[in-house]
Amino acid sequence: MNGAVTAPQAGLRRSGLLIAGFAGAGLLISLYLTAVKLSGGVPVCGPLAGCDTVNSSIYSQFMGVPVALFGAVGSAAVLFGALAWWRNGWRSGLLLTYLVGLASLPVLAYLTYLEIFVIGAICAWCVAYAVTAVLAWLVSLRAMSRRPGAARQDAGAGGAA
Amino acid sequence: MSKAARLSREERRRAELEERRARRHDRRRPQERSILLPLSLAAVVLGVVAIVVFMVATAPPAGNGLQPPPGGGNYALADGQALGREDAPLTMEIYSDFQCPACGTFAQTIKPALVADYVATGQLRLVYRDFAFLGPESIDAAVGARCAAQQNRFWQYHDYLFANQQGENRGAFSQARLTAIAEAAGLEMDAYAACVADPAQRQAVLDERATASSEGIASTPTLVIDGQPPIVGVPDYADLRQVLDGLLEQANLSR
Repeated sequence: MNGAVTAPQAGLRRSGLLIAGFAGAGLLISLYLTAVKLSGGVPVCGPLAGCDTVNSSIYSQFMGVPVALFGAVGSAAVLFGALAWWRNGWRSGLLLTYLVGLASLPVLAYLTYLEIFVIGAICAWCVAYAVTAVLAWLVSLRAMSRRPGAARQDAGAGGAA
Repeated sequence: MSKAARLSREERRRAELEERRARRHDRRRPQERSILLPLSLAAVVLGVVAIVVFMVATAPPAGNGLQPPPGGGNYALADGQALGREDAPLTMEIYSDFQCPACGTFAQTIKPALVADYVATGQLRLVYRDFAFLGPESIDAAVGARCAAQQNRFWQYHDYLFANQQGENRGAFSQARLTAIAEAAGLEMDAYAACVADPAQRQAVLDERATASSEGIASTPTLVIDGQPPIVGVPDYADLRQVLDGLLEQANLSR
């Protein structure tokens, strides 16, 4: 049963891979929106309308910098922390993903409020970004609250059953 | 030594490593807990501060204090929502929204240069097209501008609007501020008030956007020069000059 001893720790650290997946998706979305904003184009929105309105809005930039670029920086930080946690068990990396995610939650909530109540349009890309950020934070929160070897007993119980 | 035994030893080594890591974690846990709460609070405060800074940067100005537009425009050739000689060899349609920041950049940087270099010399006619898609204040501002056009002061009103963009649908183009802009732009106010109360003006704004959408316009500013492929966004002026000069050359050759 020695194999079962190491698997849970690996499982816990695999949460880093999950966070990295969400952060990577968020990074791609935010880089796409940044590139579109800087080029003066319109995000491809498919059958959903609203991306053009949100992307042309005064709230899509802050002091001349596309808001999406701030999102890209946040996602890159989460990605870095998550990969460091996954690859090297660097717990500070996990803490970084948790804190960056926590700081971004009120900002995401405010930007979503602006979309719905001020701009009056929903950008599917922005919503998708917010979902990836919230999911990454939830996974980091769960991983933060668990002891590294804590799942061992779970695995043992699972093996016994 | 068999492969299984080697694996088993490796696994034991890893298990011990994990155990040490868990014990280390347990030792550090009170320490981590003690810093986690202040760090979490700091993160939330950081997020809230970012929101406050963002809100301040995009807040509409208090009261009706208007920012005058930079420099006086040369609008001797104004013709309602158009500017320039009717028989100019080129016509540029500008699809725009008065709340769109990029349209503000275009209006305050590229348009004055176009007026000086091409409109004043009779080579270009500008036509402003409403693509009011950023909410109710975009439509209200567009209605006000149409009413200014009826008094042939569209471009003065246009310049005031773009000089007073602030926030979005938060009062920068409230009726009170639009009235103040109309006064500042030199409109006859009774006629203006009667015009903005006319629902046909609002409908005209909505219709123009619908027509533009059906023609493939999706964002602002978009420039269409004599049926050429649209130029989306704020162009570099040197690039725009190149396009205009090329089209003028073609127009002169075909005459």
